Amino acid sequence: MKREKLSSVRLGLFVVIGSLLLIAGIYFVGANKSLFGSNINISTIFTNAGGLQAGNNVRYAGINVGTVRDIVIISDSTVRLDLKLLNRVQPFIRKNAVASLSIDGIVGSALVNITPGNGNAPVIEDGDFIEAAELPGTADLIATLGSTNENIALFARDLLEISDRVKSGPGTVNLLLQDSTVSTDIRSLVKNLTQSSMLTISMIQRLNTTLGQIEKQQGLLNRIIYDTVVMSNLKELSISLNESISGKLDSLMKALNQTGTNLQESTSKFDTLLDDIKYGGGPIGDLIYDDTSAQVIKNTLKNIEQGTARFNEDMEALQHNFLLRRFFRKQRKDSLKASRNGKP
Amino acid sequence: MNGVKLFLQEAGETYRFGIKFFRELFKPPFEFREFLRQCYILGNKSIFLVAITGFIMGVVLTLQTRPTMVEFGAEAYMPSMIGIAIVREIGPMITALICAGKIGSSIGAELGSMKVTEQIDAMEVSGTNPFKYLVVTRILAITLVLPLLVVIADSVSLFGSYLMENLKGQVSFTLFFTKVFEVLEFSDIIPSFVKSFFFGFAIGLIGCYKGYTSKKGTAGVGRAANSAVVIASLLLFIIDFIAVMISDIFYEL
Repeated sequence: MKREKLSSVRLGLFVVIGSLLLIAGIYFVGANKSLFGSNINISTIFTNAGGLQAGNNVRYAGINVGTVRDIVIISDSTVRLDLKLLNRVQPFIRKNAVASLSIDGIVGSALVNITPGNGNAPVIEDGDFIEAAELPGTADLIATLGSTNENIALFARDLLEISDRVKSGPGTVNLLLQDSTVSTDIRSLVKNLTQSSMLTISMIQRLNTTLGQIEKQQGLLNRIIYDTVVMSNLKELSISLNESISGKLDSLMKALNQTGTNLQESTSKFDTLLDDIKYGGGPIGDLIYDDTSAQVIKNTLKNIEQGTARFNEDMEALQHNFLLRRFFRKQRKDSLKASRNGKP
Repeated sequence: MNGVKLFLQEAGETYRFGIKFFRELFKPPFEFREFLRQCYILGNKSIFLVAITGFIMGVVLTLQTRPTMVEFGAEAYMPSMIGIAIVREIGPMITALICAGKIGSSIGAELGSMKVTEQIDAMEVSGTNPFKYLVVTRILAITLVLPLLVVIADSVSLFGSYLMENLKGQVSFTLFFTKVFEVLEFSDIIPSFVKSFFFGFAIGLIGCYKGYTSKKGTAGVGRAANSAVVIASLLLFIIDFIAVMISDIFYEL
């Protein structure tokens, strides 16, 4: 009987331990699925559930705070996700929180991420809807990446072309890169620039000191710039100048005017003189205007020419005359001698 | 042809034996004390064997799969994978096979020897229902005790796996079991728990049938024990197959 009691105790122990282990297992699994403990239910609306299943985790600040309770298709473009969150996270989630879908790791299961919204809002309550942010899916990401790649390829091609041109073309960049003399030129240029800038500096310094001197000392410029009396003096001077010059000019103008009238008179006199010459019938007038006298003069000149030609013939005849031949021969000889002596 | 006929005859008689068990089960008087005694004998006496087997299975499974998982860079998934494997399949199956070997053979031999020595006939004469006293208590006991043994085996197995993970990968107790329970679903635990009842029933039914109907002579006892183990083991795999198919339908995995 005692032995039987002992065996019953052992059997009881076995059954209790086995049951406890089973219950513990079920509890831990259930706790992970938020089956036990008090929960709040909230919802959010997506256009694409992204492979989410009921029972997937809901994370807030990276911590599992609940599960997806249900996924309901509302219309052709909207899906409602019912989320079950633990009661203890309720005070931390506000009404402007945003739900988004993401994946646990690279190949893990889908999950819902709740992130706090901007600004302040009251704490979330049971049955509330929160906003959903649809992040680009993997396909979108790959598409974007593809177009980016194409752009990069185009860019690289352009870059290659540019570098080719720089290498082989006659441009400025090529000159800079390839021509070794350019560097010396640049160096000298820089040197000159430095020098000129130094000179400029010293010039400016001198200008500065000059300006200082002008400011301090009582020179002419200083007077002009700073002395207010000078101005009134100048004004007076200009007024007096004006007076004196205008008076003198007046008399000058009068004299000029007189001269002008005199000149006019003499001109008219000259005019009548010319008229007299033209129509007076004097010799000068004939000489200038009479056609017949011009003919007479032309004939006279012709007669003179003929007279001269005849004279020439007469002289030729004289030369060959025996009386005068010796004289002319001697004269020729002398002239020859003189020309020989002229060029030895 | 004769073999097929023999097999069908065996199948039919086993089925009738099972029907008889259910008919007797709900009919008073109940042999409650004998039932508890059988629970103790079949359950408590198997704990050590089941626990040590489970522990070794957990350790070995971890050590065997670990290099491959590390090679894939999936070392972090070790607890999840081991948890799923043990709870869903290895725990129930190993426990059931061990029990088929130990309990099935012991029931077959015990009832067989009682049959051979005509103790069963003597009980019938003395007014006690031998089927109720011997068969119903044993089948019910093993049916109810095996799931508990499976739970214990699962726990010890996971603990063994944790020890190896801790030794090789410095995984803490909390992390290991957090990951195990994170990945486990009710669709893992419930089918394997329900399955264990059928495993226990199959072991008890085959053991009792083989023993209860063993042939006369000392050779009959040995044959009863032997065939009880073989058929029970085979039946376990068939039940497992069916159970997986059914849980597949229910949970759409």
